[in-house]
Amino acid sequence: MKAHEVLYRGYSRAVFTLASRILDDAAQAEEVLQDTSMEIIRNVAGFRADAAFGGWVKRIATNKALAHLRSAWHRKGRRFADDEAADPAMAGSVQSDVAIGVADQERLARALAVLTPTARAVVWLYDVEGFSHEEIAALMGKSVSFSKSRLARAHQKLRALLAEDEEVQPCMRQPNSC
Amino acid sequence: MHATTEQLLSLRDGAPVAELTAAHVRTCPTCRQELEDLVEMRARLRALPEVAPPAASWDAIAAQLACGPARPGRTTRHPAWSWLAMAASITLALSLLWIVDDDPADRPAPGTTTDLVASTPAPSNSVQGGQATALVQTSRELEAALRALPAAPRVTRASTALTVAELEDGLMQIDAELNRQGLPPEKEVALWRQRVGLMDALMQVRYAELAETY
Repeated sequence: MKAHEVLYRGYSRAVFTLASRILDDAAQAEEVLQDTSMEIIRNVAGFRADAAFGGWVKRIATNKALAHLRSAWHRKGRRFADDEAADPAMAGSVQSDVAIGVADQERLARALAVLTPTARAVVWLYDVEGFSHEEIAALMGKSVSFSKSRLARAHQKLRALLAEDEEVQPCMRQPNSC
Repeated sequence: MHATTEQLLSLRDGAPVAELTAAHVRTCPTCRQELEDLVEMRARLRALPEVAPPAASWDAIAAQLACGPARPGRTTRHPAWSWLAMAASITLALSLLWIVDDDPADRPAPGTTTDLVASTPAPSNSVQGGQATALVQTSRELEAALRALPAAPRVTRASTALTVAELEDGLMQIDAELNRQGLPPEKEVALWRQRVGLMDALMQVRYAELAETY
Protein backbone atom coordinates (compact mmCIF):
# COMPACT_ATOMS: atom_id res chain seq x y z
CA MET A 1 0.00 0.00 0.00
CA LYS A 2 1.51 3.30 -1.07
CA ALA A 3 1.53 6.62 0.70
CA HIS A 4 -1.46 8.16 -1.05
CA GLU A 5 -3.55 5.09 -0.45
CA VAL A 6 -2.60 5.03 3.23
CA LEU A 7 -3.59 8.69 3.40
CA TYR A 8 -6.90 7.82 1.74
CA ARG A 9 -7.57 5.00 4.22
CA GLY A 10 -7.17 7.51 7.03
CA TYR A 11 -9.86 9.96 5.94
CA SER A 12 -12.10 8.14 3.46
CA ARG A 13 -14.73 6.93 5.93
CA ALA A 14 -15.08 10.34 7.59
CA VAL A 15 -15.34 12.12 4.24
CA PHE A 16 -17.76 9.59 2.78
CA THR A 17 -19.94 9.76 5.88
CA LEU A 18 -20.08 13.56 5.74
CA ALA A 19 -20.95 13.54 2.03
CA SER A 20 -23.49 10.71 2.39
CA ARG A 21 -25.30 12.41 5.25
CA ILE A 22 -25.43 15.77 3.50
CA LEU A 23 -26.29 14.56 0.01
CA ASP A 24 -28.21 11.36 0.84
CA ASP A 25 -26.89 9.90 -2.38
CA ALA A 26 -24.17 7.25 -2.43
CA ALA A 27 -23.04 7.95 -6.00
CA GLN A 28 -22.64 11.66 -5.36
CA ALA A 29 -20.95 10.99 -2.05
CA GLU A 30 -18.41 8.83 -3.84
CA GLU A 31 -17.81 11.62 -6.31
CA VAL A 32 -17.22 14.02 -3.40
CA LEU A 33 -14.77 11.54 -1.90
CA GLN A 34 -12.87 11.29 -5.16
CA ASP A 35 -12.80 15.05 -5.73
CA THR A 36 -11.70 15.60 -2.15
CA SER A 37 -8.96 13.00 -2.49
CA MET A 38 -7.61 14.59 -5.63
CA GLU A 39 -7.51 17.99 -3.96
CA ILE A 40 -5.79 16.60 -0.88
CA ILE A 41 -3.15 14.83 -2.97
CA ARG A 42 -2.63 17.94 -5.08
CA ASN A 43 -2.20 20.24 -2.11
CA VAL A 44 -0.78 18.13 0.69
CA ALA A 45 2.71 19.44 -0.04
CA GLY A 46 1.51 22.98 0.64
CA PHE A 47 -0.39 22.07 3.77
CA ARG A 48 0.78 24.03 6.80
CA ALA A 49 2.09 21.75 9.51
CA ASP A 50 0.66 23.97 12.25
CA ALA A 51 -2.91 23.56 11.00
CA ALA A 52 -5.21 20.66 11.90
CA PHE A 53 -5.09 18.01 9.19
CA GLY A 54 -8.56 16.65 9.99
CA GLY A 55 -10.08 20.13 9.86
CA TRP A 56 -8.41 20.83 6.54
CA VAL A 57 -9.77 17.60 5.04
CA LYS A 58 -13.22 18.26 6.47
CA ARG A 59 -13.35 21.73 4.98
CA ILE A 60 -12.41 20.49 1.52
CA ALA A 61 -15.00 17.71 1.70
CA THR A 62 -17.69 20.11 2.94
CA ASN A 63 -17.03 22.53 0.10
CA LYS A 64 -17.26 19.70 -2.42
CA ALA A 65 -20.48 18.35 -0.90
CA LEU A 66 -22.10 21.79 -0.82
CA ALA A 67 -21.06 22.37 -4.43
CA HIS A 68 -22.93 19.18 -5.30
CA LEU A 69 -25.90 20.39 -3.29
CA ARG A 70 -25.94 23.62 -5.29
CA SER A 71 -25.65 21.87 -8.64
CA ALA A 72 -28.69 21.83 -10.92
CA TRP A 73 -28.30 18.07 -11.32
CA HIS A 74 -28.67 17.50 -7.59
CA ARG A 75 -31.64 19.86 -7.30
CA LYS A 76 -33.34 18.06 -10.15
CA GLY A 77 -32.71 14.68 -8.60
CA ARG A 78 -33.88 15.83 -5.18
CA ARG A 79 -36.95 17.75 -6.27
CA PHE A 80 -39.37 14.93 -5.61
CA ALA A 81 -37.89 14.15 -2.23
CA ASP A 82 -38.29 17.80 -1.22
CA ASP A 83 -41.87 17.84 -2.47
CA GLU A 84 -42.59 14.72 -0.49
CA ALA A 85 -41.24 16.30 2.64
CA ALA A 86 -43.49 19.31 2.09
CA ASP A 87 -46.55 17.20 1.31
CA PRO A 88 -48.10 15.76 4.51
CA ALA A 89 -49.61 12.82 2.65
CA MET A 90 -46.33 11.86 1.08
CA ALA A 91 -44.47 12.53 4.29
CA GLY A 92 -46.77 10.06 5.98
CA SER A 93 -45.74 7.35 3.59
CA VAL A 94 -42.10 8.09 4.26
CA GLN A 95 -42.75 7.93 7.98
CA SER A 96 -44.46 4.59 7.53
CA ASP A 97 -41.28 3.37 5.92
CA VAL A 98 -39.32 4.88 8.77
CA ALA A 99 -41.58 3.09 11.23
CA ILE A 100 -40.72 -0.25 9.70
CA GLY A 101 -37.12 0.25 10.72
CA VAL A 102 -36.35 -1.32 14.05
CA ALA A 103 -33.09 0.33 15.02
CA ASP A 104 -33.17 3.80 16.49
CA GLN A 105 -30.21 4.85 14.40
CA GLU A 106 -31.86 3.70 11.23
CA ARG A 107 -34.98 5.67 12.04
CA LEU A 108 -32.96 8.77 12.73
CA ALA A 109 -30.98 8.33 9.51
CA ARG A 110 -34.19 7.99 7.55
CA ALA A 111 -35.72 11.03 9.23
CA LEU A 112 -32.57 12.96 8.40
CA ALA A 113 -32.95 11.92 4.78
CA VAL A 114 -36.49 13.33 4.71
CA LEU A 115 -35.27 16.84 5.54
CA THR A 116 -34.66 19.28 2.71
CA PRO A 117 -31.04 19.13 1.49
CA THR A 118 -30.19 22.53 2.96
CA ALA A 119 -31.69 21.75 6.36
CA ARG A 120 -29.90 18.40 6.38
CA ALA A 121 -26.60 20.04 5.51
CA VAL A 122 -26.97 22.69 8.22
CA VAL A 123 -27.93 20.27 10.97
CA TRP A 124 -25.15 17.86 10.04
CA LEU A 125 -22.47 20.51 9.73
CA TYR A 126 -23.48 22.26 12.96
CA ASP A 127 -24.43 19.43 15.29
CA VAL A 128 -22.09 16.71 14.10
CA GLU A 129 -19.14 18.27 12.31
CA GLY A 130 -18.89 21.18 14.70
CA PHE A 131 -19.00 24.10 12.28
CA SER A 132 -20.20 27.41 13.71
CA HIS A 133 -23.13 29.34 12.25
CA GLU A 134 -20.65 31.88 10.93
CA GLU A 135 -18.69 29.17 9.13
CA ILE A 136 -21.81 27.57 7.69
CA ALA A 137 -23.06 30.95 6.52
CA ALA A 138 -19.74 31.59 4.77
CA LEU A 139 -19.66 28.12 3.19
CA MET A 140 -23.21 28.44 1.90
CA GLY A 141 -23.04 32.07 0.92
CA LYS A 142 -25.91 32.89 3.28
CA SER A 143 -26.42 34.86 6.47
CA VAL A 144 -25.84 33.68 10.03
CA SER A 145 -29.55 34.03 10.76
CA PHE A 146 -30.26 31.76 7.77
CA SER A 147 -28.09 29.06 9.33
CA LYS A 148 -29.71 29.49 12.74
CA SER A 149 -33.26 29.37 11.43
CA ARG A 150 -32.54 26.33 9.24
CA LEU A 151 -31.04 24.52 12.21
CA ALA A 152 -34.08 25.27 14.37
CA ARG A 153 -36.47 24.12 11.64
CA ALA A 154 -34.44 20.99 11.03
CA HIS A 155 -34.69 20.08 14.72
CA GLN A 156 -38.42 20.73 14.78
CA LYS A 157 -38.88 18.54 11.72
CA LEU A 158 -36.69 15.76 13.05
CA ARG A 159 -38.53 15.74 16.35
CA ALA A 160 -41.91 15.67 14.62
CA LEU A 161 -40.85 12.84 12.30
CA LEU A 162 -39.49 10.72 15.12
CA ALA A 163 -42.48 11.41 17.37
CA GLU A 164 -44.94 10.37 14.66
CA ASP A 165 -42.77 7.39 13.94
CA GLU A 166 -43.00 6.30 17.56
CA GLU A 167 -46.78 6.60 17.43
CA VAL A 168 -46.98 4.52 14.26
CA GLN A 169 -44.48 1.90 15.32
CA PRO A 170 -46.59 -0.10 17.85
CA CYS A 171 -49.24 -0.63 15.18
CA MET A 172 -46.62 -1.80 12.73
CA ARG A 173 -45.21 -4.24 15.23
CA GLN A 174 -48.63 -5.67 16.18
CA PRO A 175 -50.81 -5.31 13.07
CA ASN A 176 -53.55 -7.57 14.51
CA SER A 177 -54.14 -5.28 17.45
CA CYS A 178 -54.89 -2.21 15.29
CA MET B 1 -44.35 32.64 26.65
CA HIS B 2 -42.15 29.63 25.86
CA ALA B 3 -38.70 29.95 24.36
CA THR B 4 -38.31 29.35 20.62
CA THR B 5 -36.28 26.42 19.27
CA GLU B 6 -33.67 28.91 18.10
CA GLN B 7 -33.36 30.36 21.62
CA LEU B 8 -33.18 26.88 23.14
CA LEU B 9 -30.46 25.91 20.68
CA SER B 10 -28.53 29.01 21.73
CA LEU B 11 -28.89 27.97 25.36
CA ARG B 12 -27.80 24.43 24.52
CA ASP B 13 -24.69 25.68 22.75
CA GLY B 14 -23.75 28.37 25.26
CA ALA B 15 -24.56 31.25 22.92
CA PRO B 16 -25.83 34.51 24.41
CA VAL B 17 -29.54 34.55 25.24
CA ALA B 18 -31.63 37.24 26.90
CA GLU B 19 -31.64 36.78 30.68
CA LEU B 20 -35.44 36.86 30.69
CA THR B 21 -35.53 33.88 28.33
CA ALA B 22 -32.88 31.98 30.27
CA ALA B 23 -34.78 32.58 33.52
CA HIS B 24 -38.00 31.30 31.95
CA VAL B 25 -36.35 28.12 30.71
CA ARG B 26 -34.92 27.46 34.18
CA THR B 27 -38.40 27.35 35.66
CA CYS B 28 -40.53 26.05 32.77
CA PRO B 29 -40.83 22.23 32.60
CA THR B 30 -41.92 22.34 28.94
CA CYS B 31 -38.94 24.40 27.82
CA ARG B 32 -36.56 22.38 29.97
CA GLN B 33 -37.85 19.19 28.38
CA GLU B 34 -37.41 20.64 24.90
CA LEU B 35 -33.89 21.74 25.78
CA GLU B 36 -33.08 18.23 26.95
CA ASP B 37 -34.54 16.83 23.72
CA LEU B 38 -32.26 19.10 21.71
CA VAL B 39 -29.24 17.90 23.66
CA GLU B 40 -30.31 14.30 23.14
CA MET B 41 -30.93 14.80 19.43
CA ARG B 42 -27.41 16.12 18.95
CA ALA B 43 -26.01 13.12 20.81
CA ARG B 44 -28.05 10.75 18.67
CA LEU B 45 -26.92 12.43 15.46
CA ARG B 46 -23.30 12.17 16.56
CA ALA B 47 -23.80 8.52 17.42
CA LEU B 48 -24.91 7.61 13.90
CA PRO B 49 -22.46 5.10 12.47
CA GLU B 50 -19.87 6.00 9.87
CA VAL B 51 -20.65 5.05 6.30
CA ALA B 52 -17.96 3.03 4.54
CA PRO B 53 -17.17 4.08 0.97
CA PRO B 54 -17.36 1.47 -1.81
CA ALA B 55 -14.27 -0.70 -1.94
CA ALA B 56 -13.52 0.35 -5.52
CA SER B 57 -13.38 4.08 -4.73
CA TRP B 58 -9.64 4.08 -4.26
CA ASP B 59 -9.14 2.31 -7.61
CA ALA B 60 -10.85 5.20 -9.40
CA ILE B 61 -8.65 7.73 -7.61
CA ALA B 62 -5.49 5.73 -8.33
CA ALA B 63 -6.50 5.54 -11.98
CA GLN B 64 -6.90 9.31 -12.08
CA LEU B 65 -3.51 9.76 -10.49
CA ALA B 66 -1.86 7.34 -12.87
CA CYS B 67 -3.51 8.69 -16.00
CA GLY B 68 -3.24 12.37 -15.24
CA PRO B 69 -6.24 14.09 -16.82
CA ALA B 70 -9.56 14.37 -15.05
CA ARG B 71 -12.42 12.06 -15.99
CA PRO B 72 -14.26 12.77 -19.23
CA GLY B 73 -16.99 15.34 -18.86
CA ARG B 74 -15.47 16.88 -15.77
CA THR B 75 -12.52 18.62 -17.32
CA THR B 76 -14.16 22.01 -17.05
CA ARG B 77 -14.02 21.82 -13.27
CA HIS B 78 -10.33 20.93 -13.26
CA PRO B 79 -9.01 22.28 -16.55
CA ALA B 80 -5.35 21.81 -15.71
CA TRP B 81 -3.35 20.08 -13.07
CA SER B 82 -1.10 22.18 -10.96
CA TRP B 83 2.54 21.25 -10.70
CA LEU B 84 1.78 19.81 -7.26
CA ALA B 85 -0.70 17.41 -8.80
CA MET B 86 1.92 16.39 -11.28
CA ALA B 87 4.42 15.88 -8.48
CA ALA B 88 1.90 13.74 -6.61
CA SER B 89 1.40 11.65 -9.72
CA ILE B 90 5.12 11.31 -10.08
CA THR B 91 5.34 10.07 -6.51
CA LEU B 92 2.80 7.37 -7.18
CA ALA B 93 4.26 6.53 -10.56
CA LEU B 94 7.71 6.16 -9.02
CA SER B 95 6.25 3.84 -6.41
CA LEU B 96 4.77 1.77 -9.20
CA LEU B 97 8.11 1.74 -10.96
CA TRP B 98 9.75 0.16 -7.91
CA ILE B 99 7.15 -2.57 -7.93
CA VAL B 100 7.37 -3.40 -11.62
CA ASP B 101 11.18 -3.15 -11.52
CA ASP B 102 12.66 -3.13 -15.01
CA ASP B 103 10.60 -5.66 -16.91
CA PRO B 104 10.42 -4.33 -20.52
CA ALA B 105 6.79 -5.44 -20.71
CA ASP B 106 5.98 -3.11 -17.83
CA ARG B 107 7.74 -0.04 -19.19
CA PRO B 108 5.55 3.07 -19.31
CA ALA B 109 3.51 3.86 -22.37
CA PRO B 110 4.55 7.03 -24.19
CA GLY B 111 2.67 10.07 -23.01
CA THR B 112 1.64 8.67 -19.63
CA THR B 113 2.62 10.19 -16.31
CA THR B 114 4.91 7.26 -15.68
CA ASP B 115 6.60 7.98 -18.95
CA LEU B 116 7.05 11.55 -17.80
CA VAL B 117 9.09 10.28 -14.87
CA ALA B 118 11.18 8.08 -17.09
CA SER B 119 11.85 10.95 -19.48
CA THR B 120 12.65 13.61 -16.87
CA PRO B 121 15.50 15.60 -18.40
CA ALA B 122 18.81 14.52 -16.96
CA PRO B 123 21.41 17.04 -15.83
CA SER B 124 24.31 17.41 -18.16
CA ASN B 125 26.55 14.97 -16.32
CA SER B 126 24.67 11.68 -16.70
CA VAL B 127 21.42 9.75 -16.96
CA GLN B 128 21.99 8.69 -13.38
CA GLY B 129 21.79 12.36 -12.43
CA GLY B 130 18.34 12.57 -13.97
CA GLN B 131 17.14 9.70 -11.85
CA ALA B 132 18.63 11.37 -8.81
CA THR B 133 16.81 14.61 -9.63
CA ALA B 134 13.48 12.83 -9.77
CA LEU B 135 14.23 10.95 -6.57
CA VAL B 136 15.27 14.12 -4.76
CA GLN B 137 12.01 15.72 -5.86
CA THR B 138 10.02 12.71 -4.63
CA SER B 139 11.90 12.77 -1.37
CA ARG B 140 10.99 16.45 -0.92
CA GLU B 141 7.35 15.76 -1.66
CA LEU B 142 7.26 13.01 0.93
CA GLU B 143 8.99 15.20 3.49
CA ALA B 144 6.42 17.94 2.91
CA ALA B 145 3.60 15.42 3.23
CA LEU B 146 5.09 14.09 6.45
CA ARG B 147 5.38 17.59 7.85
CA ALA B 148 1.75 18.18 6.93
CA LEU B 149 0.57 15.34 9.12
CA PRO B 150 -0.81 16.23 12.53
CA ALA B 151 1.27 15.44 15.58
CA ALA B 152 1.45 11.84 16.68
CA PRO B 153 -1.09 10.78 19.31
CA ARG B 154 0.08 11.03 22.89
CA VAL B 155 -0.09 7.32 23.36
CA THR B 156 1.83 5.50 20.68
CA ARG B 157 2.13 1.76 20.51
CA ALA B 158 5.60 0.50 21.44
CA SER B 159 5.87 -1.40 18.14
CA THR B 160 4.93 1.74 16.18
CA ALA B 161 7.40 3.87 18.10
CA LEU B 162 10.13 1.30 17.44
CA THR B 163 9.34 1.17 13.73
CA VAL B 164 9.38 4.95 13.46
CA ALA B 165 12.69 5.11 15.35
CA GLU B 166 14.24 2.47 13.09
CA LEU B 167 13.11 4.23 9.96
CA GLU B 168 14.39 7.57 11.21
CA ASP B 169 17.73 5.98 12.10
CA GLY B 170 17.92 4.58 8.59
CA LEU B 171 17.23 8.01 7.14
CA MET B 172 19.97 9.57 9.27
CA GLN B 173 22.48 7.01 8.07
CA ILE B 174 21.54 7.60 4.44
CA ASP B 175 21.75 11.36 4.89
CA ALA B 176 25.24 10.93 6.37
CA GLU B 177 26.24 8.86 3.33
CA LEU B 178 24.78 11.41 0.92
CA ASN B 179 26.80 14.18 2.57
CA ARG B 180 30.05 12.41 1.78
CA GLN B 181 32.23 14.06 -0.87
CA GLY B 182 33.02 12.36 -4.17
CA LEU B 183 30.10 9.95 -4.12
CA PRO B 184 29.83 7.99 -7.41
CA PRO B 185 26.65 8.94 -9.32
CA GLU B 186 25.25 5.41 -9.31
CA LYS B 187 25.80 5.15 -5.54
CA GLU B 188 24.06 8.50 -5.08
CA VAL B 189 21.03 7.32 -7.06
CA ALA B 190 20.90 4.11 -5.01
CA LEU B 191 21.01 6.10 -1.77
CA TRP B 192 18.27 8.48 -2.89
CA ARG B 193 16.18 5.51 -3.93
CA GLN B 194 16.63 3.99 -0.45
CA ARG B 195 15.81 7.33 1.15
CA VAL B 196 12.55 7.67 -0.77
CA GLY B 197 11.67 4.08 0.12
CA LEU B 198 12.29 4.70 3.82
CA MET B 199 10.33 7.94 3.78
CA ASP B 200 7.47 6.22 2.04
CA ALA B 201 7.49 3.52 4.71
CA LEU B 202 7.66 6.17 7.45
CA MET B 203 4.68 7.95 5.95
CA GLN B 204 2.70 4.72 5.85
CA VAL B 205 3.43 4.05 9.51
CA ARG B 206 2.43 7.59 10.45
CA TYR B 207 -0.77 7.48 8.42
CA ALA B 208 -1.68 4.09 9.84
CA GLU B 209 -1.11 5.53 13.30
CA LEU B 210 -3.31 8.53 12.54
CA ALA B 211 -5.96 6.42 10.86
CA GLU B 212 -6.61 4.82 14.24
CA THR B 213 -7.18 8.15 15.89
CA TYR B 214 -8.88 10.20 13.15
